[in-house]
Amino acid sequence: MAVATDVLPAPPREPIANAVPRRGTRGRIGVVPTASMLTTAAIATVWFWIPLGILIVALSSIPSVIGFLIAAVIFVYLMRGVEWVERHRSEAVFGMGIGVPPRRMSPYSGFQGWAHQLWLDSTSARFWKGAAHHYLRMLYDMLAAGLALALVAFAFLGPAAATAVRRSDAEAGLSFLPPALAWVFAVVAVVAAVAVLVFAPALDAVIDRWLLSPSPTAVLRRQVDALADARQGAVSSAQSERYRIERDLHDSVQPRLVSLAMTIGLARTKLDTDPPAAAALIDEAHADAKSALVELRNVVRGIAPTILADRGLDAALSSVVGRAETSGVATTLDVDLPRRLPDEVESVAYFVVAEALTNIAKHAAATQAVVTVRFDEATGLLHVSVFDDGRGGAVIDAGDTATGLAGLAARVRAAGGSFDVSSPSTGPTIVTAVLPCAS
Amino acid sequence: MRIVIAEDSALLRAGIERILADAGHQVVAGVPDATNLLHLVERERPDLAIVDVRMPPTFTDEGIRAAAVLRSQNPESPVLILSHYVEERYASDLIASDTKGFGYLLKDRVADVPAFLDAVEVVGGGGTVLDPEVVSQILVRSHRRSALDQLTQRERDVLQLMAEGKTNAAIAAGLHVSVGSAEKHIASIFAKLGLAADDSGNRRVLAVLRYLEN
Repeated sequence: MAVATDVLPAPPREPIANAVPRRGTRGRIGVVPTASMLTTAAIATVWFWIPLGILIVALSSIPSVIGFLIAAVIFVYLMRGVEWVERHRSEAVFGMGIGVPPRRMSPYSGFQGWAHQLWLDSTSARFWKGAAHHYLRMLYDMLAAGLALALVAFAFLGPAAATAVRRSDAEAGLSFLPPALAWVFAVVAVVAAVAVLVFAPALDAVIDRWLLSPSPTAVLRRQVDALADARQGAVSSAQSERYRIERDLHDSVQPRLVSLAMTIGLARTKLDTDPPAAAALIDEAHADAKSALVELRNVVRGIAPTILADRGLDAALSSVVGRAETSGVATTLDVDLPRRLPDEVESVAYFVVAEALTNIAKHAAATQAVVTVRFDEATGLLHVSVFDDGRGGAVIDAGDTATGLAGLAARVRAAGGSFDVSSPSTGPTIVTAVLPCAS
Repeated sequence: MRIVIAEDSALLRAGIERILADAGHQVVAGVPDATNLLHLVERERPDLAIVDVRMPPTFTDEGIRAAAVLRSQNPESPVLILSHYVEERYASDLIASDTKGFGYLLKDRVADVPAFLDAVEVVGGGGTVLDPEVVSQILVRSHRRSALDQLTQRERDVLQLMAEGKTNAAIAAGLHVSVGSAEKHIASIFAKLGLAADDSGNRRVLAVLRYLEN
């Protein structure tokens, strides 16, 4: 399966897409929908011909490439704008919470990106459905408004005509309805006109829902893309996690133990011949062993801290931040969580803080760091940020060593969150992660 | 002292026993889990229980929970908790139950034999010993940090040593100052935190930590 990288992964939450569509006729009938319909009809009398004209110009000037391209580009931009306006108007008038279909984004940049984006847009179902929606709405609204106008005109003119015909010369041979019947018809026509004005907009809402909604296929496709992206993140973060653990052990604990064994071996050889030197070596070995313990503790801690499962993120962060403090960067932890969050979210957040602090200790040459963790109840999002006043220039680089920030980014993506690093070359650096908590 | 040990690693249990026996203490029994510890303490009435945190069956915080039960049943029974990692949250839980004779140290500290034996003496004698790492974990948390912003760096160093259960003399020696100036620092800390000065090292630590907890 090809992973479509040119489709933006669905953001964790979209207020519009996730709003529950409100069924029923609430808001479909009333002054606003009627006014909206009449406005469309009035504007359509002129506007109807303009995009259509441009499209016809574009198609008829196909032999001249430049002419066709210019007209086509204008048409695409016009229709994209129109779709945006229609979507917002529909939301304002009917408030049905219609989802926004996903838009495929071009992976290129510059002129190529612009051209490719135009191509993607003009070949998308969303674009043509939007155009069709616009024209159907204009046609229907003009029809309904025109009908209402005709009925009102008849109501005004019918009785007058009937009376005039009755009083005219019989010689002229004019005939029309009897005035009494004309008056009845006039009243019926007025009632019918009002009914059209009141009830016709209900069909507008139906047209909106039909043509502005994303197709089930598009929704599914977006979900599949988001899942593929998350899966990719999970796979690569598991991979980089293994590399990281292996490297941590290989770089810190292993050489320390080798040196320890060597020092003790040396001490044994000097035990009989040179006891003071042997004592000094044993002291050294003791210090080595204690350092190995500290390093090993940090590695094991980084894999899976039990306190995290046991007491949650808030409790687990104390030690990871305390460790940064002892490594010489004055670190403050500012955490405020109303309750325990889902396990996966807690462990990703913990990992973000731990890894960011490790990076700071290794590369940043910082004097101060601040870890802030907040849960936004309204959106159900956990915000994690790690600030340091170091040298900056940190980049999310998935180079040969897919560790550090790239690993973090993958891990956060796997949890459906967003990850960002702001690090100008003069510092300071801020690493932020926003994680959705489906709880 | 008569000591019981609850530790699931036989290797470590033997090592700690050896160190304690060398120093003239008597290890009356060792158990590999927390459930038997309570019966053991009930039966043996030791002067000190040395307890590991992660033990069967779940390997999470058995030792902490056992210690809490132990303290509530026999407030006079000292407990020294040893763990591969220390967590301020566990320390707070146990301090909150207002204990005398309580210690919480990293297992690594056992390698510094004299210091470890000192800690055993302090806790067995009803004192409090907290690992420096516990204190630094408490101090990094922002709302506790703000309380400490009014302290000078020197006063913070003193506070750290106090929390480790050090006497005034030991604090003075650790910072290479006279006992008189160490006492001045301590008085100043208590004045700044609005605490009543107290000569007992143990009560003093608890007062400070509890102040930081709030």
